[in-house]
Amino acid sequence: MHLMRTSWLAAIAAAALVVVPDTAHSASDLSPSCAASLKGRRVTLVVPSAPGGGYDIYMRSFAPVLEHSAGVSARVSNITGGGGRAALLRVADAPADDLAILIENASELIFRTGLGHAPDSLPALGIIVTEAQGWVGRPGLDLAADHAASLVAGGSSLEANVIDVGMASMALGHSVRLITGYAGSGEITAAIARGEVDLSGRSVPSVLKTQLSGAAEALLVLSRAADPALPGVPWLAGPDGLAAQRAAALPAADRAERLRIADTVVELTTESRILFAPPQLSSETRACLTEAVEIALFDPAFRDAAEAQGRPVAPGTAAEATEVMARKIAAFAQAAPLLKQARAAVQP
Amino acid sequence: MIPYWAAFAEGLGNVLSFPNILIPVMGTALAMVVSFLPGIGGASLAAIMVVITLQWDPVSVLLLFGALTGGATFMGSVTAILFNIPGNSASAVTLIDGHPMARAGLPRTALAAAATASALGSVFGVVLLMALLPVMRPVLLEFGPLERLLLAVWGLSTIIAILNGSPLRAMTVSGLGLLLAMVGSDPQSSQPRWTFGNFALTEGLATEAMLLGFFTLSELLAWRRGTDLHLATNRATQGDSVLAGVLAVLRHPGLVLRASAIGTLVGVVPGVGGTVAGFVAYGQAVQTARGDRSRFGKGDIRGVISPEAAVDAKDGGSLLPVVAFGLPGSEGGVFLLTVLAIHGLTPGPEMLGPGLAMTFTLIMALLLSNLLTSVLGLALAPALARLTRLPLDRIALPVLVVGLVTVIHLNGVLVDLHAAVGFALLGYLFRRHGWPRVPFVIAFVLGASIEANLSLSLQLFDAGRLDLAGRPAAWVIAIMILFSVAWMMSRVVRAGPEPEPLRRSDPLLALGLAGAVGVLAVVAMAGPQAAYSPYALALCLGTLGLCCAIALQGVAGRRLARDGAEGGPVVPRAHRVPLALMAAFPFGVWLVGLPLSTGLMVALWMASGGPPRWMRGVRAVVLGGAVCGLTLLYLDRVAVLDLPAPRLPVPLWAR
Repeated sequence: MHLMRTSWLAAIAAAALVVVPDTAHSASDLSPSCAASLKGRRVTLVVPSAPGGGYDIYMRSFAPVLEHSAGVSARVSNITGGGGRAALLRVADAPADDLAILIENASELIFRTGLGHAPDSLPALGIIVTEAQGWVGRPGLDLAADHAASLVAGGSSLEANVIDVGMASMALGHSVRLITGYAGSGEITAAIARGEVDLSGRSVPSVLKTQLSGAAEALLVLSRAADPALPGVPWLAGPDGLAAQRAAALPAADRAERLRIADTVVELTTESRILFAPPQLSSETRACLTEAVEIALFDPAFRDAAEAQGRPVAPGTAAEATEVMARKIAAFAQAAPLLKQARAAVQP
Repeated sequence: MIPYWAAFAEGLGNVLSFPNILIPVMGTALAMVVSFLPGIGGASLAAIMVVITLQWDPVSVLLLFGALTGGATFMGSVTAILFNIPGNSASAVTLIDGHPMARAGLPRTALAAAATASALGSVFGVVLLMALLPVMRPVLLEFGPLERLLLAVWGLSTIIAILNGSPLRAMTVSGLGLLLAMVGSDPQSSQPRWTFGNFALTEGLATEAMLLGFFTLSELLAWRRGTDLHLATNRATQGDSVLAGVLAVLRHPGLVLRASAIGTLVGVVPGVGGTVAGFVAYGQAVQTARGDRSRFGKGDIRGVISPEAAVDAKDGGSLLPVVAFGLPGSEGGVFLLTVLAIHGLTPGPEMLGPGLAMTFTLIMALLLSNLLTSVLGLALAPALARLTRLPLDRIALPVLVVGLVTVIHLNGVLVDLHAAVGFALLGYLFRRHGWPRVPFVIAFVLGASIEANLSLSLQLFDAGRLDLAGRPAAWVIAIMILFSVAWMMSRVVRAGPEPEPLRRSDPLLALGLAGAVGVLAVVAMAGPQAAYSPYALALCLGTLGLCCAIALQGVAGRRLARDGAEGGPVVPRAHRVPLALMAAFPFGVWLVGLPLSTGLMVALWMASGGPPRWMRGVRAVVLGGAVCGLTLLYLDRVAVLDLPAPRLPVPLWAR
């Protein structure tokens, strides 16, 4: 869908309305050299989606806190073109003196390789939040039981759902057929309610919302332990996970393979929303920007502003973000054969 | 669950109490103003409001968003009637008869009829919506991909109703519309299709860019020193009055009721309904009209009343999927869903049960907004009608600049500008050679929906999840389509179709189009099947065949009609400079950036506006510099856009 962008009034409004009552940090928390280096400079927070979405809310909550803590002038720019690729290129190709910061999921960034930038070429500045994925589906669908016929899942595209639906169903030993081309999670929820499809994958916060709407219920969390937000809902991996339960009667080698797939699914689908900087920044500027971003990310004012709009914050440092990226890249490389199998399995 | 009527009273009270009522009034006014500006639509305004209202209480937010949903619809029809420029895709159908009325000197009558039909349609829509609320969820569940596909096909079949010229040309432009709607990616595989390596095209050509280019910019090209529109509309016609428009609507109560019912029921279907409503209602109006039907397409007031009633009635229906399922059917719906989530309102049983009062607040705000736009429309009709007397060549330049600069605001990528210019040139060619533009728009707008729902339906059928016998709504729509098409075809046959013969310039234009479509066909045949489905390939080859059929008539020496006054292969002198400037504009942006190229275009436009004079040159340079500066400010401070660096070493401050 092509959504219009409206950064200017939104920025004014955000400045006026996203209240930052008592920021715990100020520019004085920065090292003196960084405070001098960043003071008065403009930082562009690049959002790959339209105003109003999750990424946008995070960045509009983050901008005033960053301004306060780093003494910079922060503005939000929504660049939605090319399914978010234009935003990636905006930051990846930024000149050395341009302080642009991209917010993106680690997996999305890795998927968007092939645009002339390696996925690890953009330095990570910090993590905003990490969220698990889950399944919603028709009420009463028991994933612990065997099903004679293939289950049918709804999704937007094969690439977007091959891991959370395709690989996860392999870990469970279920045969799942994926119907692709639905316009969004709302449409898939209606398809579940109509009985066209049995299940669909989405983030845990979205699973919660869907469950509240009454059209579908939470079936599974793609994690290694129970999710406190979804009590009573089975989880995929780990010794007590659904994959292990369903594989209990299998030979040891097959069981181990199922558990390995389940573990890979959790690794690949647990999504971290990470802030990235342009690769061309000088090492001094990058260090100062990292310092400023970390201070703002851990500022309670940012957490309060985002959570007031229903967006949880669980910040992580630049080092943690870099580690997440490295782990993800390695996991994707290792999972390549599995991904191929999953593609063939869900869309024969 | 609070009783239905108590919830209704609470919702009504929320809207009518002071100072609450100021919110929908201001929201409506804002939506009306914004939707009148080229390049900035209702969705853009909604996006701004999402952020502005973060700290508002939920009732105020619903009041505002109800008003925004209703406020933008009517103004799109005003520009369609007066200037042949639809403000949104739904109002494209209004121009079929609305603009000929304005050209015939009846702008007040047309505007008043549109406003009155809108008001009645919206009241009908809201009443029906309230009646259906308790049973809404099961009704909505009847509409899956198959039903949406059939609805879109029904909308497409309207093309038959508006066949006034050559059917071959109409079929060709429809094919082109469907084909260009497929640029982007395959809906099932998501593989890029006809993007030529440009990643920014993977989401397809923006409908807003198409409308801006195909209608607004192509009209402006003809306005430059052109007098065809304003001379015609300057004619004072006796009987042109607001009262005449209002009475005309009241004389057709059956038509208004039928169109409103279609609008509400079709509008309920997410994604397709809003767009199809006006088209289907127009087709139905032609189909069921009594008396002389020959005026349809040439300024029949029934062709204004019917789509206007349907399009405003659908506003109510379009809220239902959002409220009942959290299923947005339009960009406006996406933003409404966002604010509901932000303010802790959960679509589904909650909004149809304990939160019913909030749902009524939204519906009442929508109704108030719809009525307000109509009242304002009636009050302003005389003043709006006078807009057509403005010297059009003077207003063409500012509209052109605003359109070209703000279209980049759509997605933050230059490809939308390129698309708008491309569509402007295509629209200009169609306009000049008398090729129908509305079938193209219908096909383009519905094309993506048809293909996506066809693909989903086939997959579901293959997976055994589509039981054709168990889809009564699909059968009803299918029968309606068959009936409608058969009726319209019989009318065309009975009337002894006077298919407008092809003109001498048609084969040349068709040959150019065949060349372009041929390139797409070669790319499709050489590309992977995952990207180019049999449907895409068949459509491409079919359109190529149609283009070739027209071109061959020229080669075969068939007797062709003379070109009309506006036709002919030679571009009129007055159009050459604007056409060249428009075509060169994307190249200029690539070379020296958007601000400088905009300034240059303005300077050249001004300088070429008459015999060379010293003062004219100075004025052109000053104005070009000012526009360059304003564009810079817009990009840097307003739109917050960072466009690619130009090829030439332009200083940083001038990018």
